[in-house]
Amino acid sequence: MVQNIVVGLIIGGAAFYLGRRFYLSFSHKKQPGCEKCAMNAEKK
Amino acid sequence: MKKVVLFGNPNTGKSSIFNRLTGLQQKVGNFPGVTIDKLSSVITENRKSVELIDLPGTYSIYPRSKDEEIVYNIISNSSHKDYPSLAVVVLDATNLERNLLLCTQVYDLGIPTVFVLNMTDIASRKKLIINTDALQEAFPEAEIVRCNARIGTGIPELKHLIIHSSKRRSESVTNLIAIDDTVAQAIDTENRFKRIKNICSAVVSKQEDVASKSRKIDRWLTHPFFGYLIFFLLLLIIFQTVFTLASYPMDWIDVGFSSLSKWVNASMSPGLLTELIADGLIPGIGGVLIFIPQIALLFFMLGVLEETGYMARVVFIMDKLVRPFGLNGKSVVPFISSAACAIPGIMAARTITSWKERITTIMVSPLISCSARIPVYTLLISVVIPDKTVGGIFNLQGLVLFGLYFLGVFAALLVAWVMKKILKSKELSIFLLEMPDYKSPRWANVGIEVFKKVRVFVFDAGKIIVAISILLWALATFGPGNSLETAEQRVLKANKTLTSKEKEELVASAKLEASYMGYLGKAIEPVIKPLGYDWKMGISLLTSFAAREVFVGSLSTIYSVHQEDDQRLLVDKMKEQTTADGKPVFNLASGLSLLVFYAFAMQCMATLAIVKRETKSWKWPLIQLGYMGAMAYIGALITYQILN
Repeated sequence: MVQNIVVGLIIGGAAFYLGRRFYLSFSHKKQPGCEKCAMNAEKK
Repeated sequence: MKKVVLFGNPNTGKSSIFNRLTGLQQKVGNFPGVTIDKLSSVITENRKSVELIDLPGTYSIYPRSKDEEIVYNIISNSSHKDYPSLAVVVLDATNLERNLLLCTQVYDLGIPTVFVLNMTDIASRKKLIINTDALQEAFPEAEIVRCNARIGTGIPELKHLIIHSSKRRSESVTNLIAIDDTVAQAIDTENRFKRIKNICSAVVSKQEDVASKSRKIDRWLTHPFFGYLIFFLLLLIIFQTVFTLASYPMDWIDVGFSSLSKWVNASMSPGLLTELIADGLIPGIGGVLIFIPQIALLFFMLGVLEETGYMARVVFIMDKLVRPFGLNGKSVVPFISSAACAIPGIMAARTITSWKERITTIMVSPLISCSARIPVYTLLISVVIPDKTVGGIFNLQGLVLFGLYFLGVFAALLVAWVMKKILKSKELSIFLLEMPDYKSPRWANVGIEVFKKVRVFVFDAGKIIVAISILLWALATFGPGNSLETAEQRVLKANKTLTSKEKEELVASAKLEASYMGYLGKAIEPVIKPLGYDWKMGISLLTSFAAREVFVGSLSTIYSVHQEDDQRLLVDKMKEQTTADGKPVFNLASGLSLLVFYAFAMQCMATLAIVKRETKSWKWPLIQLGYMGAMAYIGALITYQILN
């Protein structure tokens, strides 16, 4: 039972993370994330 | 807080000085145009702080491109939030004549100014003698500091001067900002150069006239024939090395994650959480980490070439090659950046003054194979291309990887040529490039860049891959109603005579097909079947829409679900996948078709977002998504139909 709840939370968290990331990329509330080049990390 | 702004021509070492002063690790490179946006940081000494701002390099305060506009916007408006209380102008001591144009302009604005004479070591090697007193005489209000950002000499003095300078703004000599038409700007520039010539004759003297080592090397590296040949051979060596050297650590990582998955299955109590960790998370994370050796090796070698100054020569020789396609040499810098990631490449297109060339560069840059394609390329090559030597020295797999990079470049040039025919513009195409001297690479810089790229690949791309792996696992583990149980019963009933291992494999396959993922995959199968893909490959294509590298993690998760005891490597699992009639799923035709698909397809949400931001319109990213998708589908279809 506990395992099922933990799994449900993990799946919900993953879906929320992807949805939020998609929204932030196109709403320009955040610099589009660059997966490879660390552009964001360099910006202050 | 006091604002201190770093000005200077491109490639004078501003960012290196910025890094030395702030302790940050902003990207530096031995070619012009590395900094394309404003960066800032606070520096402190004896409890006194100032904000230091690094701007893109510019030859003059009169702007010609997007990045130069950033400088102009700040300096032309004294109420701008970043208007400097102190201007620090970085000068390349080896080329004072050209650098002094910007100096005289900033100085004449009346802003308190510090001149930083950088690269004094190279000036000495070139037998140049800089008379600082004469320079001081020409600019009596300015402070002058000698620096060598490479080794850090003069930095403490500069920091002290920046933080504790108490000079106030004086009356500007000329109202430069009022000179806003290009003819008046040209006349002003010409007059300034006359003045600069006089200053330089007093400031710079040369011990003896010797042909520099750089010029001698350039005779070969920029030669109309040998220049291209050397570049071609260098790339060939890089891709061969990436494939052969990286294979050892990749195997260790793969074996390590397979064992970890097995260990988790054996030591945790059976249940959904154990399945999620062992069959969803661990294969997903392993799918990301396995590509660290290749990415690190590729960027190490590209970093060395960049540090030495060779990339500027590449830009120079490529100018002639790309002009017939409606581009100019400045497009090559975004292309080189795009080999790492299209996002900095597209941003680097800001340095291109012609609108037509800039939009063309933005539109074709994502066709240059980026680091996210490496995992997809190398995995598929390992599965469908035999590991054998060709011509006695070349590894066939390395040659195919090299070919895929060329396919990307060829496609980019082809699309650029089409855009040249479609887009109309009367703007002149001007390409000016300052050739930096060759330097020995700063290994710390190369190391930092490699580390940064690996870190971001693992943590940023990794997060997306892990999140998608979790969702894929959920889609593959659950199905509508009790469809999974029904499928299992059906298989067991129909195959009573098989061994338990054979039954297990059939049950796993039937359960996957009965899951939500199976339903989704079957729904898209008619669209991808002509390309030679089965529904599992289709699911991986769909999930990698946001980021290409997710393809590998997705396949890794799909082939692990429902197969608790199967700890074979992903490559082996893929090789053993068969269709209903017993033929391999990943054969030469379907494998090459997939490679062509990934060479052309957009499959990167972040790139689309940055194109929208840079072009300030949805039109261009949507056209890009459309044409790249069409090229990918048609290219993959032709490849499969011919080879099959």
